[in-house]
Amino acid sequence: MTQLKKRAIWGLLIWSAALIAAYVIFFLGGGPQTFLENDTRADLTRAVFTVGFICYFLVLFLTRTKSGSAELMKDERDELISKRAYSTGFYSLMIYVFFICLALYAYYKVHLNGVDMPVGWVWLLGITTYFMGFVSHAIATLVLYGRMSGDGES
Amino acid sequence: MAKAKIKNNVRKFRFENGEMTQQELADRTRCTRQTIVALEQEKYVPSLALAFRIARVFGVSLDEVFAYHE
Repeated sequence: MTQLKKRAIWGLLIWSAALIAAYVIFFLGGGPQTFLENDTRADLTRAVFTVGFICYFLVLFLTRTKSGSAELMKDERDELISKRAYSTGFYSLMIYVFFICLALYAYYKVHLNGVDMPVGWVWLLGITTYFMGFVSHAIATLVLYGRMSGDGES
Repeated sequence: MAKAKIKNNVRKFRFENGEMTQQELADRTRCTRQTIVALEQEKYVPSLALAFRIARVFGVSLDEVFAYHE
């Protein structure tokens, strides 16, 4: 398995868990109305960030190119997949942000007749967009590897 | 417009050259074994540089290894 693919798999696991944790912390503790008033939820969110980054940097370290190693870690196909994954992941992320914003607008402006939107939603959007960036890039990478890999490739 | 396809005989030439393994070909053409696997199954179209390196390893011209079909 290539270095890029290993990092994509682990990245997907780590950041999907962080994304799910962010949503759970946000909604189970009282929702957007009380998000900024609750220190516990803020601390938990910071913990999710911290643990996520520690795990991710550990993965990067463990899958690093070892100096003196003769094994080729990345070739032109990996670089092509990496470039396409960045652009695909970026567009996916823009679509995610767009639909979240549209859903919030439809709910507060249209459904609730112009009721003010709690500012807690902005925090959810910001935090989950950050995690979603990693997730969308990892998914794009794995999909591209699936399309550009032969049968029986590890 | 129909999509162009690049076909190749990499696997055939590999076996004709002392039953070269995919790893050996990958090492000699400075790519990964996974890329050779993808190439042989026509899941990946190599860059011109890689295509020339492959042809050079087999000692044949580029169009003996790769063919362009519309």
